[in-house]
Amino acid sequence: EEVAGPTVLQADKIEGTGNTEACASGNVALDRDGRRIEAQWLKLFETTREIRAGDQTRLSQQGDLLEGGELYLKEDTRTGELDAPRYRLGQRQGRGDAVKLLFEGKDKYRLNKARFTTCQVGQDDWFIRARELELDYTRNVGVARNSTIEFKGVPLLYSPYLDFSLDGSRKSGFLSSSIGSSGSGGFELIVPYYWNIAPNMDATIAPRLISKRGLMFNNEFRYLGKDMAGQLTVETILKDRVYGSSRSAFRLQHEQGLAPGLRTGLNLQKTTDDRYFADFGDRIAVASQTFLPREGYLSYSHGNFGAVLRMQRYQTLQDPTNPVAVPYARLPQLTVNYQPVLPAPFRLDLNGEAVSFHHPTQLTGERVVAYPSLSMPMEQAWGFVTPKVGLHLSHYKLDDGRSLSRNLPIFSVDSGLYFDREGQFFGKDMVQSLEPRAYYVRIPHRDQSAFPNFDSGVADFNFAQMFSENQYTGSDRINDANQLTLALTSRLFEADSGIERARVAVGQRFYFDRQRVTLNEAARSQDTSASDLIATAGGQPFDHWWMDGAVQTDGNGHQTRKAALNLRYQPEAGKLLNLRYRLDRLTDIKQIDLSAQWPVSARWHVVARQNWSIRDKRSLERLLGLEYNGGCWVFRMVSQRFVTSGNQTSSPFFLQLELNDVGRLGSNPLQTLKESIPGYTKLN
Amino acid sequence: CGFHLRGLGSSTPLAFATLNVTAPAGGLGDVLGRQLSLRPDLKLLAAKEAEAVLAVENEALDKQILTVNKSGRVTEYQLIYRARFNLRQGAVERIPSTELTLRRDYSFDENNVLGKEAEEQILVRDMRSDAAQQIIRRLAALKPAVAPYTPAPAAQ
Repeated sequence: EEVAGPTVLQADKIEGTGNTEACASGNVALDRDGRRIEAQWLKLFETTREIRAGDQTRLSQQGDLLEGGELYLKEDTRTGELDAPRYRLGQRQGRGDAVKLLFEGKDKYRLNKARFTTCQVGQDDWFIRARELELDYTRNVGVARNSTIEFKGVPLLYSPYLDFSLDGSRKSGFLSSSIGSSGSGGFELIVPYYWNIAPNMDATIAPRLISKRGLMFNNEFRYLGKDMAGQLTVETILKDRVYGSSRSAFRLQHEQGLAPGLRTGLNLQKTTDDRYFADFGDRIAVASQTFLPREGYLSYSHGNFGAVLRMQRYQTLQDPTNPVAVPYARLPQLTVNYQPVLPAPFRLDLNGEAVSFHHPTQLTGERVVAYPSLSMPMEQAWGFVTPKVGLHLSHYKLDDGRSLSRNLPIFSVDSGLYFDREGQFFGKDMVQSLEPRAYYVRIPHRDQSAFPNFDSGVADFNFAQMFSENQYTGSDRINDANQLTLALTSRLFEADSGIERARVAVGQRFYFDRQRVTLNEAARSQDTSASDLIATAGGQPFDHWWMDGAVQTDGNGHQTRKAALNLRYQPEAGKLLNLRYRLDRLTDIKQIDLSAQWPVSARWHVVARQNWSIRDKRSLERLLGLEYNGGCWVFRMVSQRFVTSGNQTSSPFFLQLELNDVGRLGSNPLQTLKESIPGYTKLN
Repeated sequence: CGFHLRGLGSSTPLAFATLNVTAPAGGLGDVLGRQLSLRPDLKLLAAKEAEAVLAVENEALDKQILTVNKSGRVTEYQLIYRARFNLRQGAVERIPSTELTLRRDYSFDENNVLGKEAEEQILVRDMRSDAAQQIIRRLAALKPAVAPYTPAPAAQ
């Protein structure tokens, strides 16, 4: 039981009956326990800890404010009632009025014939109007029964039961229903129900009515435990009227720590048919999925030792117009790495991998690879040199009966110097560095044409690749090499903090021998002496401007093979312009991509994107929308069109009204805006 | 042109001679530890014994579609790597919690999923090493915690 604090009672006139009862009248003010009650008259019953006050009462406490007619309050249980209240409650200052308010314990209220809004006083843009309204600030949940959402005086939605957030912290229940349309499905209605099962566990059950197809159920269940977390998503449409049968998608992701250094995880994804995501995904990131992993791992790391055991298989979603190769399953894959401590400056790396490759149609088998290497990193403030020798050992046991082995010595030297100069750039004390780097690799040639290809591919040529031993990813091909990479990097960083503000780099690889190991590309001929040349530049040259660009030309600098430019101007949140340009001759890409979020008046913002393929003279994605920030609400209207597999397009349309902190009505474009407009800022 | 070899010109020593690196296992912390252990002017010690503690608060990796072709197939992804760190020297926060963001683009090949997965790992390693270097450069820029005593100008 709470002990009553000091009581201060002020009034024009106070009459008492002993110590148990007091009657005050005329400009009454009662202060106690941090609560102040003002009224024309007030009666205080000390033994029962009851208060009665009227005719007009004003109750204030820690930013909460209740004004109304007659008040009855029983202080120990915090129960009672207030006639004709106007209220302003909670951190977010939710406010409104009612015919009657019942106190139901600390920070809990029940109101009859009530209105609720998060708009400021004087702005009556929207209300939840309810026959009965419960406001529970201990859980930050509001429940409205027999309620209507009224926007600018117009009723938008009636619901017999509506639960909503009082602080914007949780996804709300029926207040995030969604109405929209997508090209292939027609009109859509989603009515999600959020179930806050426990503080560390929740579920969202969302029936989705797709007019041309039928009723779908989306269920998402999330949980969080001590050193573990997971999410389960199941979507099912019992009968798709267009497709002709039941369809579904399943995803389980789970991560868990078992003991210090020991972890396990699962990522299981499955769908019933190849076109599932193209038909139901309303975002490119969902609709474009082609490979669904089904994998589990167990990893252990302790000090300098690490090991991962993994089982992995993919479901491949085929598009008849563009069939793709089915990847090998690795059942299982074991990788081990260990760096025993050696006296400085020596460093020993022991890497090993054993995999059993499985495939429905292609050659399968087992592969064991071990790669011990000894290096001698020597580092000074002004530069470094790292010689390294290693022995790459591979053994294959193939299911066609063959056994293959390959042992390759690998030698490399990496070295670099750091030069600095101090100076003034962009009006600040800066240090400019000049960092030349040279990297030599020598690997003898072994004929590998009889070897299978389970997981190898030619890696992109970039700065990370330039300084690696092998141009192939995976372990099925080890290139022969007698080559030298030269690169020059210059950075600009702030003298007093070391923060990097800009960077330019240029690099190229020089070959002393022709290349003979190939995967399926043409071998490099004898007279090719240099790789492509790469130049990049990036940084924040001026306040509010970000840029980075990269160019890859052929060895002589005659032809541009790849080019990319990203430019962003963002003077403030909600004011953003992006320009991107991409060129890739290999994949036949030439695109320009403009996106923006820009205020056109104090309250209106335009959001737009145009991703235009110059090569194909067509738009790959376009988006246009308007956002209106009404202070205590935001309205969004977004129309999008993007290409999906099989040369089809999807055109979702989003209409959303967000009532600040409480919930959202309509279809939600926020995820789409975040993905389409890099740097997009939510207005409220 | 004013360039001089780093460490041979107007260089100042690190603000501390001993450092502890606290980080989740198997990530940026390992790379930082490896790179810092090569410095002759710095000793890595346990948290209780070190003058300063460099903490990697978290690391996150995100993968986004960068380019699609005319058939709606993904041809390029962008990896976005974020690392949050701070540096404390005794009770003083020398570098408040700071996030580094690095990006790498790579082309996607639908007929070589496993190879691209391995390439992703190479790029993640590259970004970790890049992040480690950026952090070390910020450590090197710190001035010693206690400024040398300079007498106040005499009052007029």
